[in-house]
Amino acid sequence: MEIENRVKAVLAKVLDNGMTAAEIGSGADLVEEYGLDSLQTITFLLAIEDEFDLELDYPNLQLDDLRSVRQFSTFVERLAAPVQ
Amino acid sequence: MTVRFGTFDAETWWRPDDLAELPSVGGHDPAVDSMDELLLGFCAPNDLLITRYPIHPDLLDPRIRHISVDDPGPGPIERYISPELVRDEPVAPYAILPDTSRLLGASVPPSEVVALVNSKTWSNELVIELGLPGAGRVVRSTDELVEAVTALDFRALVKDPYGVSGRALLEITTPGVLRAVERVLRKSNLRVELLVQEKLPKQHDFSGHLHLRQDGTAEFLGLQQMTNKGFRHLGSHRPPPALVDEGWYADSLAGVTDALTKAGYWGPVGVDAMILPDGTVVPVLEINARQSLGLLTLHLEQRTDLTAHLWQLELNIAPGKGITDVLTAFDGLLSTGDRPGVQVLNGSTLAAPGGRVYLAIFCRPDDLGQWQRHSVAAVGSAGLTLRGMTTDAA
Repeated sequence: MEIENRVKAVLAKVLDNGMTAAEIGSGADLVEEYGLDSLQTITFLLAIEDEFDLELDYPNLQLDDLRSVRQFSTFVERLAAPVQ
Repeated sequence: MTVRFGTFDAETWWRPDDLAELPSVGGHDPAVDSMDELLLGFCAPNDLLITRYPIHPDLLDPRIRHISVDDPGPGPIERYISPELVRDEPVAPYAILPDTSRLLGASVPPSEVVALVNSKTWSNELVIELGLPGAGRVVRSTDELVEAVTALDFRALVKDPYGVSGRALLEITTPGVLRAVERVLRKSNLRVELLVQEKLPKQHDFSGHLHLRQDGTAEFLGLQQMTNKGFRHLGSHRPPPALVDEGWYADSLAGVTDALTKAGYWGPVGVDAMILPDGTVVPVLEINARQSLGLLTLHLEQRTDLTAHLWQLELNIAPGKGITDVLTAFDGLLSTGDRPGVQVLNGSTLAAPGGRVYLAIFCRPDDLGQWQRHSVAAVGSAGLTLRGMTTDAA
């Protein structure tokens, strides 16, 4: 849940339309409902890398599977988990 | 009679292959391929418009001749236009690409020249040479990028010299974002050439449009005030006279037109500019030596006694829905400029899951907000939904 809230905080900053992190729905589609365009998407991804100290593999990123905050948070959680 | 055609992502074809790209997502946006139907807005009666794909009949004006390229392959449309169609006719291409030069020969400026003057590296060098405010720094290595962004204390915009929509620029606000950009650039192992500019507190965006003749004389066509969402262009319209003095701005572009002529360019020019909160005008942010959406709006304005506003809607489209549903939604509001209303300018290939539709709104200057709300309500009542744009329309 903590990761999801941090993802929402990053998204609210990128959207910059007055919407707060608390107002962002976990299941809402980032493109259809929040109108995230390609420039905002890359800004969001770079900010996610910064927030979670991750490295994203841009050319191989399957964004169609990451359409909601919930899906994205699960993806971040997986990347952030220490390798066993 | 003028023959019109063109490729809207011209920068893709000007951009050298050996340049490293800023981080980006997704590949080529196929919607850009059908944006050439917007050229319909430039057409006068009897003009011939050649587009990549067929245009929906309800978008067409019967006084304008139109053909589409049969079975276009990869690459720009210019590659698939028969020389017979443009022989001995006045031609007004959207932009001059290498394929345009092959098609039209010496009747247009060489594509190498056009590519050069459209580069942000070239325009930044010109800004420095002319002593204009707002100059940035061109960096040619990842180390230089890191140094330049850090020196700006992370209030930096980093721009590709041939930025294509969606991958044109990044705002770097933290060391973490800079590290991510740095990592992508180093990994690519390609040549770095990027423009780093301080992010200034912008009050208004506007653009100046002119036609530069081969002898170096220029006709100033007018100004457009741009509406942006973040860094994305949403639309434009003629600014109120108080925003910027048109005559003064036209005169201030003399150095730009001289430099373009000296470089060997002639044709349409759009110069992006901005006004800071203290009233300072940054007169040259970017030079577009091609036609542009701002120029399109100036053309639309010529056909009306009202003000023409270019605007766009990002729509979610359900399976089976398309441009017919959009046109039905605007039933009763449609206009070609003879009365207040809306003209749908593109969307023939609109399909699920969604896409962008450009509108010309013809109205009195003060009524724009009202017509935007009418438009949003119209698409909503037809069961079409907007992609996160409702707050922009209010």
